[in-house]
Amino acid sequence: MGIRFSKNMAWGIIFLLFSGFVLSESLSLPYRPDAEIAIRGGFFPTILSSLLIILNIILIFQKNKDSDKEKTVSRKAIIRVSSIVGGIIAYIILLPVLGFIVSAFLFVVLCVRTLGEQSWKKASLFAFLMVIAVYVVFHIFLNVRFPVGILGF
Amino acid sequence: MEIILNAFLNIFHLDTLMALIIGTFLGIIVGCLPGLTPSMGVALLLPLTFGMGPLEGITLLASMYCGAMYGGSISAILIGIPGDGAASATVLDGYPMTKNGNAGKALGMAAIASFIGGIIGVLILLSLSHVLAQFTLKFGPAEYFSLGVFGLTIVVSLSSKSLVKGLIAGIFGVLLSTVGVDKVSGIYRFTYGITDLTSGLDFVPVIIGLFAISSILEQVEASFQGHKANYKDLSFRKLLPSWAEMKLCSSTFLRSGLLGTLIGVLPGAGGTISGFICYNEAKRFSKNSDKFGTGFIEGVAATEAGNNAASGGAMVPLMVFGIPGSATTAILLGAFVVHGLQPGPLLFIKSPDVAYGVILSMFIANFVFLAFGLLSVKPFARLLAIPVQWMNSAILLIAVVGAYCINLRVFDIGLMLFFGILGFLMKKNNFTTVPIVLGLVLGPIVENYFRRALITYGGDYSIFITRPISAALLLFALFSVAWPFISPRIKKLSIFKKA
Amino acid sequence: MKKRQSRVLVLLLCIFLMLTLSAGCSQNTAAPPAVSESDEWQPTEPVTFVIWASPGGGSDIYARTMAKALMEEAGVPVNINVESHAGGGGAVGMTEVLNRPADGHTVLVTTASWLLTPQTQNLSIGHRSFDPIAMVFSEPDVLYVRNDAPYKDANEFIEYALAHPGEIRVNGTGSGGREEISLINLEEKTGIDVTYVPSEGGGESIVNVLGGHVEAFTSNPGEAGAQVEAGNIRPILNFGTTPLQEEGVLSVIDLGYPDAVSTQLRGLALKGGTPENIRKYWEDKVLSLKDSADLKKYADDNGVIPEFKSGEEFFRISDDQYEMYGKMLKKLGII
Repeated sequence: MGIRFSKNMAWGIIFLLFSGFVLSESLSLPYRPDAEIAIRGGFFPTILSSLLIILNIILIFQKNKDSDKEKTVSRKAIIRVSSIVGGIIAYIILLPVLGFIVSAFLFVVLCVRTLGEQSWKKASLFAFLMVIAVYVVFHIFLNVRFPVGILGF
Repeated sequence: MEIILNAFLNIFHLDTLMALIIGTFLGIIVGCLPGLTPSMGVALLLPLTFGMGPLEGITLLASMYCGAMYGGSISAILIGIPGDGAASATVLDGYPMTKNGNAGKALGMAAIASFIGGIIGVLILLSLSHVLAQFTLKFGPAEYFSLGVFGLTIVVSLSSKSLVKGLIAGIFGVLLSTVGVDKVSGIYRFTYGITDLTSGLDFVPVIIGLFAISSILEQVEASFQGHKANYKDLSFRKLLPSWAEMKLCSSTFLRSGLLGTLIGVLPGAGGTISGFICYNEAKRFSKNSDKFGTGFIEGVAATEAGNNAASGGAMVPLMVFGIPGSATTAILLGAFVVHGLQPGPLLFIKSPDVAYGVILSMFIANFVFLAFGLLSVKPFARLLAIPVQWMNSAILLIAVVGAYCINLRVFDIGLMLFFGILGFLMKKNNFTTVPIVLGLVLGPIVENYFRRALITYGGDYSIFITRPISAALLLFALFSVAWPFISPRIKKLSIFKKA
Repeated sequence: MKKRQSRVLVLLLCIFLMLTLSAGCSQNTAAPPAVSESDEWQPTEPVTFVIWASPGGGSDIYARTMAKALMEEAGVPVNINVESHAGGGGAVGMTEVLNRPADGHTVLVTTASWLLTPQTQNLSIGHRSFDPIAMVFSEPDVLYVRNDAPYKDANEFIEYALAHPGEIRVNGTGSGGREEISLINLEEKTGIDVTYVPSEGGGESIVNVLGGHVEAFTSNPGEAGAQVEAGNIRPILNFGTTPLQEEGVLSVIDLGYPDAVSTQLRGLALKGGTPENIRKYWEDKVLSLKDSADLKKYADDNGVIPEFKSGEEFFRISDDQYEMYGKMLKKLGII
């Protein structure tokens, strides 16, 4: 069958590309003219990325001990995971625009729904209570300043 | 002795006791909320102490420090997010215990171990602070480098599944720590003009991502329906660690307490490193070392005793030299100064009442959080009965808020998400993510002190092995790397002998 | 099951829709809020002091002390909160203030970093992006040695260093910062050759000197105070212009090198373009604290020197320092 493309190989190659990039960046870092090689800022990154390259070559050619049983991931699972990830991304984008209270509320509603709660009412109530609790503890008691949105809160 | 007795009597004034109890409680709250570190908590409280007397004011802050150190373990165990960096290693066994339905035992053990570690730390602070302070003076750049190398060897024992993958993760972590301005040469590395990167990747969003977000994504993917646990029988006895478990951990308490104090004493090392080192040493000396990481009570005991002992240790250089060894003690130093006291060689002579008073208040704070910890096991364990969609949503909210709070930057939420996805993908492919955390913490110590040592000693590489403490630490490191390969053989030998 | 998924997608879509909508809206409302130009200005909502150091450090305590004095003694009618936006050698804090409205409710608490970072990081912003309120304190850099060192004063130190080139190692915080620059400056003026070792901070420098890992360190008097008092270390050279609390310490001016002066200025500033009446309000309030007992006590405890100067003068001195740092950083090969 020749070489079977394993997960480890994929990881090895990704990390290999990454460390190759870091290596070339490390070699081009500036340094003071009088500094010895070992105390230059690029010294450690160079060594570390070289080590990573070696380790990843080993990983690529290593016999795969893990039983590479491909667990099939259902489409539903992918949708669930990506809606949580998308929710966090949306939260990051919305936070400076809508302010903490609104964006956090929407974020929690999305999470609760994705994680299996059916009722919109329950989800909204829970999100409302959580956001208020966090707001009281972090902002009112501990004086953390949350972003204020265009709505003024 | 009379001074100590007097200080003891001073503590039992209503004001001071109130400050102590309130401080400890606030500390527990700040400690268990991810994104609020002990140092932020102490800084937030500092202005409130301006109006108090020196003893009450500093007692409030010192007891908050003790409470926060313990508090970090609560969220580490219950939801797998360390409340602060020092509790990172608590997640390793604490969270699996929750998954196995033993959250109550883990919480109980964390309270007891924190108490024992904390008491050991304070007793050493009280009795040996001047000796230990002299010990810190022996630590120059070469010694710190070797200590960092010793710490990094933990990667080897954490990567039992695949050494290559563990090393990749560890080196990746060290590489991440080089992002930002280089403290030795002053240049900017891998920042690409992004201002948020110039001070490096903040530790807190990275651990929230690697620990909390990644495990929630795993649960989401598997359509996880809640931890298996028997929530009907919540009797006190069954929730707390049994006598046999306490006996099992007794030597671990002592070892972690001593080791944690010693590491805490060193400025720049601190609770996180001492937690990891104590965890690793407990694993090395335990009869059940293969159970570590699967939800084994000794792992929780080792880490919590270690990081709480470190807070006693960290007070040593502060009180004896006036030198803060960590962010939190730096603020405590500020508090002393605000109240017209100068920690340092003369503190014990000029204002012994405050000096001993603070130490004693830390002593008592340990009792306060022990009581809180044991009494709160039951309500906390009940929390886990909350349906998973609510629990995990709450965790996600706390995670995004915590990541933001640490520097009030939206950037850090993105950082958290990045490491959450990375951790999720890595775990799916049998990578352990803990070495990344370890590399991120220890990377700067190894890198910066290596170069500082070379500058200090004129480029002489031999100093790492000619200076005795440094040489000893490197030898330990070598031994530590070799241990996983030697120990099965030793065990075989002893079995052979018995037969 | 299918139904639920589609609902999630709908929700996601809704969020993105709202996002694009609100992004459009925010551009419309981003215009600077109108600020009245009347002479009688007064803060109407809580004021934020932005520091660029971590909570609890020297800058935090300085900011909190100022905030307290302004509220209690100068009669600022609103609450003043201190917020830490650490990172990037001050760039994060500076950016934060510039991102907020120029309405006098956000005040930047400044240290020497805002003269250095814009140059080392090649930023488009700098101290000139702000309007100065006033200068409050100056903190001289001081060279400390162990009490049992063979050199008793600055002259002996220089003599010893000339006779033993490269032998004396000096700790200071970080690389390419104020402390290294002051030392390089001294080397240049006197012809000595010492080794600068960048440390993590003042605390580590003190441990290194006490433990004999290095011979000397530069730091601010606040950090070294306890050890000086205990007689373990002593100052031998003052890079500042005002005499230290400890008597008989020579300054660079005494040695005849007025160009080698290195002090950290602590002041306050507002976002550039703030109306003059607002700036004047803050300047008056700060300068009214000249005789505050609390600030005097703070200065004594922390080894800083009260130097109340108007905003204009604050910036004149800052400009000089900015240029001097620029020259030295070029010489060091950092920029």
